[in-house]
Amino acid sequence: MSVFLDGRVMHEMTAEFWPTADADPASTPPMVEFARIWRDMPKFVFSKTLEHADWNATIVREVVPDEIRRLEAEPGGDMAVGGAVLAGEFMRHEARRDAPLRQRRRAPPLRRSFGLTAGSNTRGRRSARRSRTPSDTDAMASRWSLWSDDSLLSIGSKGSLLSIGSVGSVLSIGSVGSALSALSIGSVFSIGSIMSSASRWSMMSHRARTRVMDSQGVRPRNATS
Amino acid sequence: MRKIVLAMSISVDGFFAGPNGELDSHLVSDELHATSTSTSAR
Repeated sequence: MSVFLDGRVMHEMTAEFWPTADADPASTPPMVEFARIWRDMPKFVFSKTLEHADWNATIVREVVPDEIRRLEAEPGGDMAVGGAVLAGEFMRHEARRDAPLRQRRRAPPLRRSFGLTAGSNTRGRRSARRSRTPSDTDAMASRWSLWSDDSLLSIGSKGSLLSIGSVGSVLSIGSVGSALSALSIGSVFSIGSIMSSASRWSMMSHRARTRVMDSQGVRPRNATS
Repeated sequence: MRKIVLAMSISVDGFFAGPNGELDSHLVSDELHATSTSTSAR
């Protein structure tokens, strides 16, 4: 990665943890290494209100597609988007761009891509679908309703924001290993499966990794990305 | 041209975070940390 594109909440959460994570004796070697990566990484923090951001961060007030494309055209490793609200914003732009012309004016507003759940169960999901009332909480707990309400391909078929809905990430999300394990251990799976392309992260190896994770037990951690 | 990739955990039913933005549902093993670190280092 050459840049972190983070929402304000995600930036503040990570900035609380990673700057000193390598000084913590409890940190594992990968965490120690990531602490260094995190500190040095150029960051863009998207916020309408934030006045100041440390750790090599530049504050950006809003997502301007042309600006993002200009960033993309610069050389370097890929750019990582983090944060539920920001991801929703990127997806909204991408959905609009990839929609057929006649649909562009009907591209879903940002709020529609947010939902609220009391948990990860079906009941919560259904009630979230009915709830269209915007609130701060809605914005915090965003979900990929774009993927289900609209066609997945319209978001991820092609284009510069590709990886947000690209075939690679979707395949990873849907791979049998991660889906089954996630359902069984709490319906969560990993950053790794999104960040890895489907070709490099085969279903078989993913199942093997999942078993390792199950057998070793798992530790909840905040601010992992 | 570099790509924009989504670097987040997501639940199978499509949630990034809890109702209050909490990420306490995330389960991160050592191996996963190693994977995300090596991905970030590229």
